[in-house]
This record gives sequence, C-alpha cells and structure tokens, in this order.
Amino acid sequence: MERTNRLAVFLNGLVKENPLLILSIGLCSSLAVTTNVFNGIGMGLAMTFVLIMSELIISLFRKQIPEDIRLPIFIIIIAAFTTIVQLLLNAYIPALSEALGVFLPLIVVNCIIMGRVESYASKNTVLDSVLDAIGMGLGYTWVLFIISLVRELLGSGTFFGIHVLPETYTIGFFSRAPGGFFVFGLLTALTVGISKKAAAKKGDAK
Amino acid sequence: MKQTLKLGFTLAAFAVISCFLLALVNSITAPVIEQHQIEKANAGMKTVFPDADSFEQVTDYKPSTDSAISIVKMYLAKKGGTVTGAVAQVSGPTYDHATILVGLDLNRTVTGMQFLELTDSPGFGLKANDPSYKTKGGTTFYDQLKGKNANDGFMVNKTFEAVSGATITSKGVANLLKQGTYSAGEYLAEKYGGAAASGDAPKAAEQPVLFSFEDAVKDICSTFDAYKGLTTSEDVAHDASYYPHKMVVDRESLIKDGSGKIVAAAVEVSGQTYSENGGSVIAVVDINRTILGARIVRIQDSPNLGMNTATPSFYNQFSSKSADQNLRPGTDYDVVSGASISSDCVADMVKVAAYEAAGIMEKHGGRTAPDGSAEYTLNEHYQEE
Repeated sequence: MERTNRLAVFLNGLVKENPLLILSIGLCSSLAVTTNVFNGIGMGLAMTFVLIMSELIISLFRKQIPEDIRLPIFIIIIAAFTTIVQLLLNAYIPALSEALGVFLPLIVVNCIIMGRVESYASKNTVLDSVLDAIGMGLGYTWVLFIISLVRELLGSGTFFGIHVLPETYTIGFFSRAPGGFFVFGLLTALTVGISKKAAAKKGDAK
Repeated sequence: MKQTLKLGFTLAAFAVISCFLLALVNSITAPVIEQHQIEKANAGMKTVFPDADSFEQVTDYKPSTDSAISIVKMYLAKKGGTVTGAVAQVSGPTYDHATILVGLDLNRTVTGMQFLELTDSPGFGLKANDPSYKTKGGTTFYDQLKGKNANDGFMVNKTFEAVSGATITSKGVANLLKQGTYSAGEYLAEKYGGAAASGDAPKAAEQPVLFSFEDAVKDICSTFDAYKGLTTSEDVAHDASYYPHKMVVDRESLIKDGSGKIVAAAVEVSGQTYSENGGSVIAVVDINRTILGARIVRIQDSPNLGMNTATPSFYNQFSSKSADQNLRPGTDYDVVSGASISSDCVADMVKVAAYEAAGIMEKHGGRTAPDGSAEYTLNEHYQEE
C-alpha cells in the first residue's frame, strides 16, 4: 500500500498534475527557451535540480521553519540553489547558460517551485517531497522536450543542432513566440482530451 | 518581542547558511568562469595572432592620425610571457563602416586580419568578409593580408588585391590597416624592440570643408598677396527670375580693396549634383575674367564619394582658370574617384558662377567677354525638365 502511494506521488507530476499542461504554471520560461531541444532539456534539468534541492531542504527543516516567515525562508533557499545552478552552468556548460540567458536566474520566481514547496514540501516527509520534486521536475522537462522538439524540427529543421530537414521545408513561425503558444496549446488540448476520455471510460466501467 | 527576535534569528540563520553555501560554490566556479571569459575574448584575437597564448590590453598607444578612423583597442600578444606582437582593433569608414582586428608581429608583418563588423552592399563590399569569395591568389580577401609587411604599405591592387567591384571598400580597409599597423608597430618598436617604421605616420585623408559665403571669399582672397585681407563688401541686387543653365543665382557680391576700388566679384549658384538641387558653389573672379578660386557652400552626397568634391584638392583645381573657358573632366580638372557625376556638376556650377561674376566685373570696369563666349556649353548631367 505504502509503495503504490509513493509511486502515485511520483507519477502525479508526470501526467495527472503536470505543472505545465494541467496546472498551467511556470509557462513564461517554458515558452521562451524551447526553440531547440538542447535548451529545452537544459532548462528542464536546471529547474528539476533546483526543485529537488529546495523541496529536500524545506521538507527536512519543515518543523524548524516558523509559519510566519516561511515565505522569505523559502525564497532564500530557492534563490541560493538557483544561483548555484547558474554558477555551475556558467562554469561547466557556458553554451547552455548563454542560451538560457535571463531565464536561468528567473527560476527563482518560477511558480512551480514556489507552489510545490508551499503546498507539498512544507507538509510532507523528505522522501515524499523528493519524489514529488522528481515527478514535477520530469513532468516539466518532458513537456519542454516535446515542445522544443516540435519547434526545433519544424522551425529550423534541426534536431540537437543536426540538420534533418532541408531549409526549404522549415516554418519560421515555430521558432518565434507565437509558435510556442501554438504548440503548447495543442499539447494542452491533447492532454485534456485524453484525460477526459479516460475519465469517461472509468465512469462506464463503474 | 521574544517571538519577533526568534523569527529574526531564524531568518538570519537560514540566510547565513545559504550565503556560506553560495560562497563555497562561487569559490570553486569563479576561476573556471574567468578562464572561460578570457578564452572567449582571446578566441577572436587568436584568429589574427595564432602564435600567441595570452593577450594583455594596453592603453598608452598612439591614436590614429585620421579623425575619421579610431583605434578602439590595443592588445599585446604574448607567448610564454614574452611579447611577440600586438593586436589592434580599428574602426572607421569604408564604403559605409567597418571594424577590424589586425595582428602585427615584431617585424611589422601582419599575422592576420579579421572583420568584427562590416556594413556594406551584399554582392559587392560584403565580399570582403565572405569566406567563399576568393581573390586571384586563391585566398579570401582578409587572408591575403596575412604575411604582408606593414612597411610595404597597403596599396590597392599593388600590395594587395581589391575586392572586384568594391574598390572603395578595399581602400577603406587599407586605411584602417595603415592606422592600426602603424600604431601597433610604433608601440612595439618603442617598448619591445620591434622593427622601426620605414615611412612617416599615415597621412590623414583629406576632409571635405564647406564654407559660408563670407568665409569662402575670405579664404579665396587670402591665397593671393594682392587680395589678402579683402572680404565681400557690397551685395549686388540680381534678377531673381534669371536662371542661367537652370541654376539659381543665390547671391552676387562685389569685393573692394582698401581704396574702395572694385577688384573682384563673387557669385553663389545652386544647382543639381548627384541629387536634385544638391549643392551650392561660390566662384570669385577678378577684373581679368580669371577665376581666383571656387569653394563649396553646400553639397548633399555620399560620404567618401561625392562629398569629396568639397576637399581642397578638388576645388583648388579651378583656380586661375578663365571664366570663359569650358571646364571639362580630364582636360581641365580631375574628377573625384568614384564620383564623376558629382564632380562634373560641381564644375558646371563653378563655370556658371564664374561667368556670372565675370559679367558683374564687366559692368564695373572689367574686361569684356570675348565674342561667342556667352553661348558656352556645360557637362550637362541634368535631366530635361
């Protein structure tokens, strides 16, 4: 019983409560950086790291953090880890930190992190929180991966920077902001449609 | 009170721990990040000075001798700690504008040259920075400069090959190279035992000068001992509906000497140059119908091209010509290179202004016009109205 619960916590972020597709939070960075797969995955992993570390630390100290000042403390912790990610990327993957630009430090104010920390990590055990963070982080990352895959392939005809489509068949629209909204909208519609169908089936079975 | 203090301390504790963590990470990553930045800056310079392993910026170098060209930065190129050359970043006019990096070793040999910025016409000037464009020597335009000695000078189609169809861009680049290599070479010669320059500092390009009516007259008169110090003294009323050769007479004026005797006349006319009503020119003519001089009051044209009709080497060609002779390109004056239409139009204006001025002098005791001189012809580049 315990085990299936843990699995549910982890899977929750991947599909059922996917931060981007279902909760629709943390959208600005996800639309801005997803012009190619490298950036999309990089952003997703950077964000996942900050999320895991923040949820870990906050659930660890959840009994020591006074209720009245929990938000400033959350922000300090999240900001510290964001800065660490920024420094590490700057030092070891400069290409990625250049591509992500201002959206890297802006992870601090990404509402996914603040939302999960406030609603989950501050009330649950360390293990559950970390599982939640991994689920949410990967849920964020896979959506970024799909959006950036579509946008890079159709927008510039490349995959991880390797040319796969001839220049003539690319659609510049997808490389720009409206293309991001378009792909994101389609994905959301698809997810909602599938989950509605699944729910209806469940209802029939009953 | 106690509760507030407790909250404050808790917050402080979290802040301190976070700070400590950040400091730790920063101490590890800072040197790596710095190394990256230096490498990035050096990567550009390495392409023009491949033999160096580090670069150091210096500031006490000689500035450019040409006001239009500026030496933006200078770096010393070092190998194993000893200075082996210098890299100059030079910015200035080509057909439009360019910024280049040029590396120079201690023998004043160019180790490489690269464009950081080049704005020009695609298919022409931009070929200078096109890796697929090859000169007759089989190299790119910028690579052919590698190995040239700065003491041999940078002369288009003599010491290096111009981009075909873009001579002006190529000349502009040559000027940037001249300034950059001279300054870098001098810096090396002075401080690090580099080879000396074989010639003088590069001459500044002639700048166009525009005159007001009064200044033009003063400037022209000051070139002759007999007229020194004389200025315009009396305007003459002229017929506003009179347009000699479709030009507008803007102003006519008499020049008198100390005793009040009329010695010369100045006339300003406006006409078409490369653009419609694109310029105004003044000519001063003496009592013998000889042009004392011509100056440009106003000209709308391209910098480095038509604007150069306002340089002394162009307008001084009209001094001491007769107001009655035709002014023809090639025989009576040399056109500004790349701007023959502008040059011919300015010459036409000089001719009309001079003939009108000679006419005024005729009324004030000057020589009469020779027979038939009134039906003169111009180079006539204007379109029929």
